[in-house]
Amino acid sequence: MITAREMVESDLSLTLEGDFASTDDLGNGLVTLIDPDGAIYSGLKGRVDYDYIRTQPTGEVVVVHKPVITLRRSSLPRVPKSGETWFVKMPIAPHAGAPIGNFILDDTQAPEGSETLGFVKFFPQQAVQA
Amino acid sequence: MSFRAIDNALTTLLGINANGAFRVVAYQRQSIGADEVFALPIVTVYYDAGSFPRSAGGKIQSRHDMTFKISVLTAGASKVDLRVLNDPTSSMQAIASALAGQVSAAKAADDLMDETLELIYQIIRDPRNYGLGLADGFVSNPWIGDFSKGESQRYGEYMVLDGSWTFTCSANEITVGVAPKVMAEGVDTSLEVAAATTATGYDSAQSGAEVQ
Repeated sequence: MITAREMVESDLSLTLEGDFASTDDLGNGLVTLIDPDGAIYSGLKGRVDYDYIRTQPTGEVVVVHKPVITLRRSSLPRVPKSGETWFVKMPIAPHAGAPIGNFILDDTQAPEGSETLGFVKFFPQQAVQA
Repeated sequence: MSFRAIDNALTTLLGINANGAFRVVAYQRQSIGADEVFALPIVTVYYDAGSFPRSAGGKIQSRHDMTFKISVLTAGASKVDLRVLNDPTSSMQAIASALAGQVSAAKAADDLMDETLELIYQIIRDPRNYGLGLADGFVSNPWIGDFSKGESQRYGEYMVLDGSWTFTCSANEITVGVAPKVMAEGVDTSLEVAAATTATGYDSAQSGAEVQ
């Protein structure tokens, strides 16, 4: 008998990832996280949304580039918490062969999500060499 | 009016002396992307307010006390030692240390704002720029009076911060009136009426017909 958690996992592969899954041609996850202790988590399952459309107060419609990473909780041994500094490596654009960019999890916007829903959402910021 | 000349002079002065540290924008048609601001801070000069103290001899010339805003936009990204983080041979301790030394994007934007504001202050307060490049005596009492900084906001992958200097000065405004509209060519409004002719009457027509 399939459990509720297994059902959530199955649904996530369709609803969360679906056609926009952040994976390579072999199905390997392209998002890598490094936690504050230096542990590396690679091949994570989820999706990355890169842009969204917004209407300015002036009526001008603009495309805003604001990456949002949504990952399955089950694929993360440790879940980022608000205030922690995590390093993220992920493709910089939603097409095959896009270069991998460097990001830091945003310290001004806490991760979202819940254990019930089975996913967690982060808001990465551009990282440059100090 | 003088305030427009001073606005242009300030823009030109800052643009000439920016030396690649910031970009002066006189006018922009569209919204500016945060990545564009991150590439180079953006400075805008605009006339904010003015007053004309009453004086007895103010019919032709009057003093104009002006206030300009020198607005600055900066954007920051998180700064971290990427060499260690991207090195597959780095130890966990080295990676943890690199992450602990990260400078937040908001701090980076704020540091850049402080640098840009200082540079603008030095340019305008430089004694050689007292007249803003205009004729001697055109500008009087130039002064940078106060400064304010806003809250950093998240725009996409960057943190964007705005700040502004308040610059005041005085100049004379000369009243020239409104110039009349000059037409390209005149319109003849005279009315020509041909005189009536009778058998014995005087024919004033210019055809020279014989009067019977």
